[in-house]
Amino acid sequence: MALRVSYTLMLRGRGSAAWLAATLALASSHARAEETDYAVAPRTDERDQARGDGLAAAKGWQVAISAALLFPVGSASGAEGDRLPARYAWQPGLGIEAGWRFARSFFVGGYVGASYGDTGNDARVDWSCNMWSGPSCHTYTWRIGAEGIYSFDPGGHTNPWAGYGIGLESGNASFKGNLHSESVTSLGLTFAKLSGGFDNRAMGAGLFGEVALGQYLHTSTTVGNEDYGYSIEHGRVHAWLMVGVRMVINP
Amino acid sequence: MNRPKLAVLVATAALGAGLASCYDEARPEYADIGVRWLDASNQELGEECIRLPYLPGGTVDHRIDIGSGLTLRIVGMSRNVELTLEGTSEPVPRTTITNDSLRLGYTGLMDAVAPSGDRYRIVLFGPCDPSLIPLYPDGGYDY
Repeated sequence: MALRVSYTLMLRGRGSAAWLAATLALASSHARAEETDYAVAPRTDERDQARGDGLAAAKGWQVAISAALLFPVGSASGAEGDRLPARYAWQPGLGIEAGWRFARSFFVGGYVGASYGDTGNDARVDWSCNMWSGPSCHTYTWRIGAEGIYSFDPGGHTNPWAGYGIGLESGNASFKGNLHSESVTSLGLTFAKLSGGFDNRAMGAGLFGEVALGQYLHTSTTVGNEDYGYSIEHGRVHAWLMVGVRMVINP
Repeated sequence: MNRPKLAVLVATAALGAGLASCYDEARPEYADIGVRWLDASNQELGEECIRLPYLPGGTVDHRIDIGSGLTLRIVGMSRNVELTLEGTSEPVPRTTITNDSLRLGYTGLMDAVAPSGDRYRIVLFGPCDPSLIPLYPDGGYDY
């Protein structure tokens, strides 16, 4: 572009030696500036031509780190009173997703997450755990799996996305008192991790929500010094609802 | 009785009732189940005490070998415990006992016949306090 400007000036016959020198100097500096910009910005063919906003659709490795609040819903098993909110209170959690962006809109990768909180709203346990100098009561969960994400506006400034994942999940509740100690760990399958959100690509950050439908398959219980394993005979579907923020590397 | 003394008496009674109520609530609600098994001559063959889970979802899955191929399966959860006899000559219905019953005091019996014809008697009780089961002088149990 700079070269074209200097050529035009010469054609109009207004070019003195000084003008020519100044024009060439300007063209030269402009060209260097373009080279510098070129080194930072994506190549022209990678830019989103339709939007023209200069943000290239991401490709290659992408990593997201999330912080969220998790809320349990549904039945943990078919046993009487064994609801997920009775086992676990709401929990703050952290998660990491890592994978590969390809074909502009697609992401395939894996996820891991963990959360930590109090025991749930079972009246007896709640009362015992809230006693003065009462037992120590804690819960934690973790999850791991694979997922795919579709970006609806991969070249846009704000990119809405939706994802589906499948994996394993586990939850633990522990109760440690003078008269009784117990730890219950359940392991199961997350068969539908439905997520969605939007990323501000300039900031590399966004908001998201998630519903993870799963079912526990096996429970390990330690009562005192005795360990027991149990395959859940009549499983029930439960859900973890999650809302949070995430930072994205290569959004 | 004058009015101030009556007020003090009522307040004291109310405080006492309140403390008694708190004490009652503060009692541990942990349950356990005791199992003794005997042969046809009422001789004890074994005894076990199993602490039951307190947390929702906690599950104790335990099997006791009674003899002659008979097995007592105990699946204890935070609200109730299910007992199933396996290996009997005739199917025996599953027995369910609530943990509250075991905490408050429970005694029950299960009779089983092995395919070989051997007979066994299983005593279930809670809490796990052997003194709650009266003994016959010959070592048998008064059911």
